[in-house]
Amino acid sequence: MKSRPGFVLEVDKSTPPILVWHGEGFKLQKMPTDSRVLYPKEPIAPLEDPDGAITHALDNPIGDSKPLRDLLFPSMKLTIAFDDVSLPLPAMEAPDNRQRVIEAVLNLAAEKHVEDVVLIAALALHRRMTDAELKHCLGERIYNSFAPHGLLMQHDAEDPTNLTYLGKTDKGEDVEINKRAADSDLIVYVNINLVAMDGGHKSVATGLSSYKSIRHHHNVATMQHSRSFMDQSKSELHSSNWRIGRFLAKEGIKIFQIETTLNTNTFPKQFSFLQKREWEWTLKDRIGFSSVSKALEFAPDNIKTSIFNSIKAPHKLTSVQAGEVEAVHKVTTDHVYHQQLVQVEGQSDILSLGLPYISPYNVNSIMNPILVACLGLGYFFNLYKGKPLVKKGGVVIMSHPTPLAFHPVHHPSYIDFFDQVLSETTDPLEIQANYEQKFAEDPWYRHLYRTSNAYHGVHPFYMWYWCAHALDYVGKVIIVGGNYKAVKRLGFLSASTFNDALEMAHDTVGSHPSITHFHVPPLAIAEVN
Amino acid sequence: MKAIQLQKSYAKFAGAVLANKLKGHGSSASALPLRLTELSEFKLPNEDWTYIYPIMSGICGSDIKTIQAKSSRSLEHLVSFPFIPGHETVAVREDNGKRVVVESVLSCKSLGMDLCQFCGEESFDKCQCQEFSPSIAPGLQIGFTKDIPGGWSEYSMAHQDQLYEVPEDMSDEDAVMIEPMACAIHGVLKIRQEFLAGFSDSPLITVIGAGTLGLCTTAALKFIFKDTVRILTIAKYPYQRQLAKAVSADFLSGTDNIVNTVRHLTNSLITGPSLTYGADIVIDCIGSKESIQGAINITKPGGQIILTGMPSKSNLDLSLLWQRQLTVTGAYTYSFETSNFLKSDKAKTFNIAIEASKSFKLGKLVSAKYDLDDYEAAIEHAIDAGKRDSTKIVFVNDKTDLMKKLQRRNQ
Amino acid sequence: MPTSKSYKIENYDSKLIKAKLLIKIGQYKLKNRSKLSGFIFDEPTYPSSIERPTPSPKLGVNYQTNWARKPLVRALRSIVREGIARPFFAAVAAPEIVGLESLNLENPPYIFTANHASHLDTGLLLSTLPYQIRRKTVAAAAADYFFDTQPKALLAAGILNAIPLERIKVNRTSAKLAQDLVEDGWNLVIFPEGGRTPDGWGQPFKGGAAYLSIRTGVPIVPVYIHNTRVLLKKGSKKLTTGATKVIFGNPILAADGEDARKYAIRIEQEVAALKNEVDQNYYVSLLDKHNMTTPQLQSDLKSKWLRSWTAETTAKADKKEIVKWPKL
Repeated sequence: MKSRPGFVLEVDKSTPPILVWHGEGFKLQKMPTDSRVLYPKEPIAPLEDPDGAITHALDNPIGDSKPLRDLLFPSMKLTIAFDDVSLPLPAMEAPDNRQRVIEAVLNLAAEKHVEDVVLIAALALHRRMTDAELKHCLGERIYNSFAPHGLLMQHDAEDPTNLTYLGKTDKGEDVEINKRAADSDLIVYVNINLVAMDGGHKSVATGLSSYKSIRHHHNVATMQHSRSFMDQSKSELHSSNWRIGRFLAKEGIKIFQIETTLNTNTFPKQFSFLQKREWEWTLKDRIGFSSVSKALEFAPDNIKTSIFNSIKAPHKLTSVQAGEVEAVHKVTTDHVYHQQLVQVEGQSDILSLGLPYISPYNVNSIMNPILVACLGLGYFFNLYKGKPLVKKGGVVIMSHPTPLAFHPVHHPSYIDFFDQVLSETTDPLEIQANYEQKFAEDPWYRHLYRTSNAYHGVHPFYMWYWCAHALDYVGKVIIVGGNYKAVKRLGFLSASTFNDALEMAHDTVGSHPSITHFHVPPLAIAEVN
Repeated sequence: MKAIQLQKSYAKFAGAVLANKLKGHGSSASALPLRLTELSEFKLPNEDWTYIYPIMSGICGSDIKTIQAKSSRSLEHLVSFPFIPGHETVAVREDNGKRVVVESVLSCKSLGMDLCQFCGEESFDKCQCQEFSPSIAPGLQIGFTKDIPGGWSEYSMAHQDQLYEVPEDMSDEDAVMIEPMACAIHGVLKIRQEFLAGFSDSPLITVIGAGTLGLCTTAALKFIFKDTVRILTIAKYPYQRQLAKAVSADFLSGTDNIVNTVRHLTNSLITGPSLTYGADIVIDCIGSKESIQGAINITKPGGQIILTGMPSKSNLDLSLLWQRQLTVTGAYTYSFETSNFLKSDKAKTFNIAIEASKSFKLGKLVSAKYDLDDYEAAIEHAIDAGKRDSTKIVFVNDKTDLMKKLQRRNQ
Repeated sequence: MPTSKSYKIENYDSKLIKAKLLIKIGQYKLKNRSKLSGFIFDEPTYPSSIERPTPSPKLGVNYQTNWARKPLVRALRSIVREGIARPFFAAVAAPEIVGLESLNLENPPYIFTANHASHLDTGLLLSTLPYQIRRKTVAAAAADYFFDTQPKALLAAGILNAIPLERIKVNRTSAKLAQDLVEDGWNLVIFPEGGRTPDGWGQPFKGGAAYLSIRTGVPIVPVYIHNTRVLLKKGSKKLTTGATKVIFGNPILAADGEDARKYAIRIEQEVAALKNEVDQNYYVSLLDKHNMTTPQLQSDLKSKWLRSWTAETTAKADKKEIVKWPKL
């Protein structure tokens, strides 16, 4: 596969309409002349022998670490932690990276006769995974060997008997992690690094930790000082996680980090037109686009949701590295940047985004209005290095139907957050001060988080904090084609078409604004000069 | 005189019921058993009574239920047809020209009979003797008997003791809200101390409904309890939410998220249709099957439910009422209050209501005024009040006209 | 207010539907009872002064299976077996059958002892036996599992021709029944492990079959059933298709003076040798047997995950698709 680099297209009269995501559907949109469209780099070639690469990585660790083989001994307590269902997006075709890596780790452990091995899904405050999701991510063989014996666990951040408090960092951050992990002779963490925010010390310091600890970096102040959290060197979120990670190392918690990266080959063949540049669409692509979008137009909501949830992405492994956390993560980040970084010259007045049907928090679920806000202002807005794509006080135009719908099992606290909190205020600081604790300590949310498949009570707050930097920075947010009530509650403006949205932006950015459209898929990070 | 009369026409009642079934709310008023007529003068029942000229008279939820033939037939013996409705009336007294509000409830005293035991104790709200008056046909209140015209008319009448002078600086709109406010206060004062003493420092009182009565109840709670309780008002329409906030509800909830909201506010878990804790007191201002069932589900075990809105025949599941050991209290009209939440030992409900209405400026709940001639539009508006972003619909009589009439009489 | 999209929670829904159906049936029954109730329609009640006879337990080991060996039932069963069961197993399990030639069909009965991994085992084994054998074979089934309720007992005895066997403690009734039947010329299928494997590894063979063989002088045929765990394992409700193998060893008899315990261990060795034959080949199996190096059915690993992991490793390797028919 030959991969062409990403670039910024200057739209002229002969530019065809641009494909724009619109939730569970997409549309073609003619961009105004002189606007810019950011095209990501095409998927890079995957590793030819992924299993071989994994074995090689385990035997040749990076940084101050012995090969995994030498860290294992029969009487040890070994804990293998792995990223949860929020990664990668969409879920990848089997075998998942986690399955490949963990099988390799287990083969070594079996060879060394390690008797006490436990697998933990590093949920942090996310919802518990279903059996089917665990099976998909680990494979039948691992699932069958661990789940029936109760050795496949999901981290429970609300189980006081299962947490170990280790102390405070020099900045006063509480450090509390999963007891089994803390008691282990070795934690092997298996990660999938989809965007530059993932991985590193964040894996254990957040994934296996509790609300008490997470609140120190998942808050408004931290998020407003992360410019952006996709760029670790300028991310307060990461500084805090790194402090906690180093504290863990000092406390003698041994972590063997295995990180993997994927290429951006996001959609299967029948959706191949999504990843192509519009002027290269063949007859087949055009037929594919029009038949798929027509079908989606007429399909009922729940059928659309299940169609999209059934998509498995043909992502492929592009790198795997193992060893000491920081050294490993540096290499991993380089690989992510290698795939995703696109150079952009200067900021613009308006940033236009087409938001897809999926975000990290609605896998096999429903994208509710709060997640729409988070995906646009939390994730896409922050996919920059250096400066944001949009000027300070500029306008973000997002395209998404923003339906007034919630998944009652996965997002119970979101419903109340939307109903009781956003109806009063949308100011992140006020929300944090007046409501967060009540939701975080609500016994019902705790119960659902621990026993059902619900996100933690405080999770919708984090989604809103994720937007804090953008809310602080941007002058106006307009959602195209969104449910009026939902958009209004979020505190944004709603427009029926892109042109209306431009019209509405005029009083903020003048009548001849510069426009940049972020073309997805695949993913990219804009390095703005 | 011009008046709106409710007739007992079975055909029209049947029509009303049918229209109701077919269209739900929003049935056309022309199908209802109402008519605008010219009537000859009514005689005063006895010398303690006086004529009054209504300035403003409200359309109450119970009026609508009666007109739509939705109210229970158990009350039929206390109503005599055809009658002129209107029991939320601000009027001018014929004898001294003062502006008054009418305490509409009828009792042995106002009917000029020997006092029953309740009336002897001045609990006029509990009097059950309306059926037995020798001079006046049965009527629950003024505006439910054929012998006394209610407020939807050019003139009406009342016993002197039923009239309360309206302070000079109070608007007619504020004054017309005194009667519903008195109902609300009476309901709120049915709260008993023992039910408030609960798990939390600040008890939660839930008001179901944000129509006139719901909003008045919300205001009454604030008026009586100040900030010692938390008030959650359940409002169906966004407009009602704003008003509920304006009359100082602490929390608001839509109708389809009630259990969840109460759960969140009381730190409960959901168990079946109900909660492990729940609201200490629930005041139902709707009276429908759904609202009462909802009230049962969200009240804390051992808590109290107060029914202020007029209920009717309904098919309820009372197993949780039994299992959670709830107390259900009805609250009808007003008289004297002897609650220990008041400063004085005994106070007239209307006097408290006058003060409360003034302090909350409840006149803002009056959303539309209609002449008697426009009665069809008025009734239609009242039926759909919530949907049409309105609360209280009132009839008004032209004031200048009224003054002329008064002068003519006095001459 | 946000209205939650109605989201189907699968289990809940299907349970609800079932519950509603039950209520409907209950209501129907109640309705009809009111019409047809009281004495004559209902059983008579006992006067208090009359002592009620103590009911004798009719389930478990005491379940009477005589009816299931009556000619008519046998005929019906043979229709089910030949017409439904065999085609079913052929389609789902595609068994490859090895070693039947060592049986002398003129000289039954035999006691077949096999490893046990799946609910499919009994049916599969019964349907792979030669006609002369399978027409007159009973299967020993756990009394506490298959004979605990009337409908289950009815199915087990009726379709599988099962007889109840106590697997926890020795029970005279059940042992006697098996012995009588074998002496009467019935072949017997028995799983000496006493239950399906929880993790893929074998469990120790119990002495029941060996004892029976010693008492009756009927030879034991060791059988190894390969790969049924992959198709339907313990605790799973999902049946997948795959290729299986049923391999029969030579009939053996107890040596002079050999007790049931030692004999049972020898039977286990024979089955292990058959497994070795599947995993390797006939000759390697023979060599291993000769050198006493046959890999054991049981695992000496204590760690739960290691046991499962090692068993899963082989299971994965053996999972192969059977050729679907018709081929399109």
